[in-house]
Amino acid sequence: MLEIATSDYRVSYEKERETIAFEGTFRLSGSLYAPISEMLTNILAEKPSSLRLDLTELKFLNSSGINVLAKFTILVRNSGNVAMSVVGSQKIPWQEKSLPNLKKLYPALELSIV
Amino acid sequence: MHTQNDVNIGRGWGRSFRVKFFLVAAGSVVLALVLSGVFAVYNFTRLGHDASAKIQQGLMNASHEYLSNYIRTVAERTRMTLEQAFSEVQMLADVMQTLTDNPDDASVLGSSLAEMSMFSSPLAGTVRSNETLWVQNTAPARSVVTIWQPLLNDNGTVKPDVQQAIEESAVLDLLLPTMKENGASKLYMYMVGPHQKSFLRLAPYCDMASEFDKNYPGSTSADFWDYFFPGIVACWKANAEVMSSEQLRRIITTTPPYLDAAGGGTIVSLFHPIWQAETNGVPGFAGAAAMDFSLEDIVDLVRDVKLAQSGFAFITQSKGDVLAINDHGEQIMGLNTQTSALGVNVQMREFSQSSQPNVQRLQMPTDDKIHSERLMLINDAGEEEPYILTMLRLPSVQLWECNENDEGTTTVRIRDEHWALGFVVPESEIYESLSAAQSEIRDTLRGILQSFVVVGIVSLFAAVLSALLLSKRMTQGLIALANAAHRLQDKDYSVRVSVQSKDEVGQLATAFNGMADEIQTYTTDLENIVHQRTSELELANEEVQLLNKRLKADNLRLGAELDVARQLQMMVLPKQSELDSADPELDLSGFMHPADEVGGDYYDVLKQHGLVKIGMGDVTGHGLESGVLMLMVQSIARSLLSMNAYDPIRFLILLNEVLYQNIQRIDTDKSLTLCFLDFQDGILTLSGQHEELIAGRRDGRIERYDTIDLGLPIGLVPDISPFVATEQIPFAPQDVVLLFTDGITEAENEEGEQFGIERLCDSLKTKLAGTAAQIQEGIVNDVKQFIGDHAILDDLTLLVIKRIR
Repeated sequence: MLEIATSDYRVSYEKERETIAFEGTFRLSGSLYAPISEMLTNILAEKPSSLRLDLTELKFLNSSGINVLAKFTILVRNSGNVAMSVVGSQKIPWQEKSLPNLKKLYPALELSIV
Repeated sequence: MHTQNDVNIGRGWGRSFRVKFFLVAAGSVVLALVLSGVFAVYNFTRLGHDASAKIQQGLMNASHEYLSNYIRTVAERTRMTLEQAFSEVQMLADVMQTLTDNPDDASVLGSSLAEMSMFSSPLAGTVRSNETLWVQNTAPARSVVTIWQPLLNDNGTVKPDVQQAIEESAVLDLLLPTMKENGASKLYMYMVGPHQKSFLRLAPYCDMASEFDKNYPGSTSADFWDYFFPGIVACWKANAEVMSSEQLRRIITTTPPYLDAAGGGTIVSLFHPIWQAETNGVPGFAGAAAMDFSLEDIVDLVRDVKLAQSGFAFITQSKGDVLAINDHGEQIMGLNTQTSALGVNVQMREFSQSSQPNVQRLQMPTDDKIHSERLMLINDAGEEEPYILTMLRLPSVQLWECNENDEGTTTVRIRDEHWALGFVVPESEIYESLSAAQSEIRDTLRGILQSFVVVGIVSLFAAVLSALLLSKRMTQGLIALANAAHRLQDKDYSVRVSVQSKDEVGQLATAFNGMADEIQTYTTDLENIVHQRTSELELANEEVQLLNKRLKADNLRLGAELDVARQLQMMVLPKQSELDSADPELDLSGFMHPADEVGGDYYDVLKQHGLVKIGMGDVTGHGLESGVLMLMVQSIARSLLSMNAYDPIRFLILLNEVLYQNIQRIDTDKSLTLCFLDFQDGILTLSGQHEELIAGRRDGRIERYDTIDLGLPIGLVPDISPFVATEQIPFAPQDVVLLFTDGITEAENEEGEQFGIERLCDSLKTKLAGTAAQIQEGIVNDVKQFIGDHAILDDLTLLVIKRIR
């Protein structure tokens, strides 16, 4: 299990379930997202058949963070044969507004906001 | 710091530990000795005092008991002696009374006896100057019969009735000598006839008449009773008148003691009157049985009483005339003897005449109890000395008393008389044993004190010696340590202490040696250590310098970047004058507050051929790259507008295309949200994806316009044409629209709560009537008030557009 975690946030990858979970509050400045981007890129490099982004416990993600997710979505899209799904939460206002962008970038992506 | 001076003082006598220890040890012993000594003396003295008190009480009781018993015994013996004398007189009186009661038989008896030679002796008269002075029988005879001149006829012969009486009394010759010889100690046993017949029959035989004539001149020519015992017969007669015959038979009258004229010592005459048949109802006096009782027995008894060493006894009459006392007692009591020459020589030795004031005041007991008192007598040295006086009253006797007052009148009476027995003992002698005990206690105490002193001196000596030895032993180590410390002070680091003991001093010495080792090591190796430390420090310093240089470089770089970014931001933002002159129908007011670093917020107002294009964007991240990206957006926007790209959709697609290519070139992963608001002919056209647009209508309604479906983040993909759209928004005069970045809605207070879109709407709603500037300032104030002391996490950017006509 891969994991990057601080007291404020946590990103983890559960290989068996091919699920990447984002939890907590991300308020990092741009360059500090690099380790997370790298982790995501590495996960994709292992060529999983599918990937699931679990954002139900993601309270806040600033614009740089959203950018990271958008870039990753484009990366997955470009890799061609990885089925991607994103799960968000209705309880977190920004998600309903920003997550549809991901589907715009990768129309095959399954977006569900529960 | 110790100076040499201090050391000297420290080694001085007054501060030496040894001396202190010694003083404490010796002082403790002295204190203990003194305390125990004082305690012992106190206890012993108290014990002695208690013992003395008890002994004194015991002696008091014992002596009182002893004196009481003794005085009772002596009194009893005195009483018995007197009793015997009294009973002898009574015996004689009974015989005489019998003779008197039977005059006829007595007469026959007298006649018969006269013829017997044993009972008769020839009478012979004594003649002087042709006058027969007295008649007396001649020796040898069993008793002397003396007939005084008044009982004689003128011719010197004895009167007949007297002669008969003499003959009748001859039978007493059987009794008188025997009674004289036996029983009580007496000078004479005799009988006296009544008046007119007052001859004397007396045993033992002696020349009584001559004695009388010699000692009592004139007595031979007088009546016996009148001469020797005046008034006594009258008293008897007076008593006889009121007494029963039985009582009369028991009367024995005592004379006061007097000196026997014939040198027989102190005597008391005892008389028992004899009575004959009554004439005219009055008993007639018929003579008396008598005894001259010698007090010698009693006097001896009293004189022989031995009380302690110098105690004595006395017998006194009720008036304080002392009958018997020894010479010592007479002297102690301050008595002197006087003789009254009235009748018989009565001896006077009265307490009232004593030279001792306390004796003068002595009261005779008036009951039969034992009286004990303390009597202070003045001794030869003139000092008062205490005596214990014990007195007991003796049984009463009938005393004949004959007093002559100052007028020469003689008073005679018979009264009850009690003699009293007294013992006088010096208190000092009673308490002699107590004094002896006390003196012994004192001696013992002195002995104890002496032993204490001896023991104390020995203990002190022992304590001093042991304290000296111990203190020497104890301080040896300390002294060695002190000396070593001084040497250490004098920089002799090789010094070590040799202390063998295992006690604290030994531990101290071990610690001291360890310390000296360390000091020595440090002193010796100090140079090396300093050298080594210096090298280490130099190395560290070099590193610090290097780091510092790098830090400086970094700081410079970062500072320069920030400066450039800030300048870029300043350059890009439109000036207020541009806003004011953008369109006469619009009132614009912009606000931007960067976070700690320069952010990537962007807003602009562009003008071209009657079109006012208002842009609002937010580049992801902060810093120089964000600033550059913003600058690019601004440049591209202005360029596109210059090339008359009026269609908002086309405008955005081209802008994204150009920016995406530039982003690829500068190889950054940044993107931005960006929307545009075109105002033309009273219509607002909204395009591009960004935050919501908020419109406040002049009637107070607030409307929100979502931009999610109007575009995609710029710079993310090369072509956003599938996603770009526009929305027409009515914009009447007095309407207000807000454009903002997420810094406003996501501003947090200290509780982590976000300002949010709702609060922003509410804030706008209350300020719709104001100018754009007022609305902008009001909203910014609300946001800042909400944030409070919490840090501003992101850029705050707000643009207020109000249509004024």
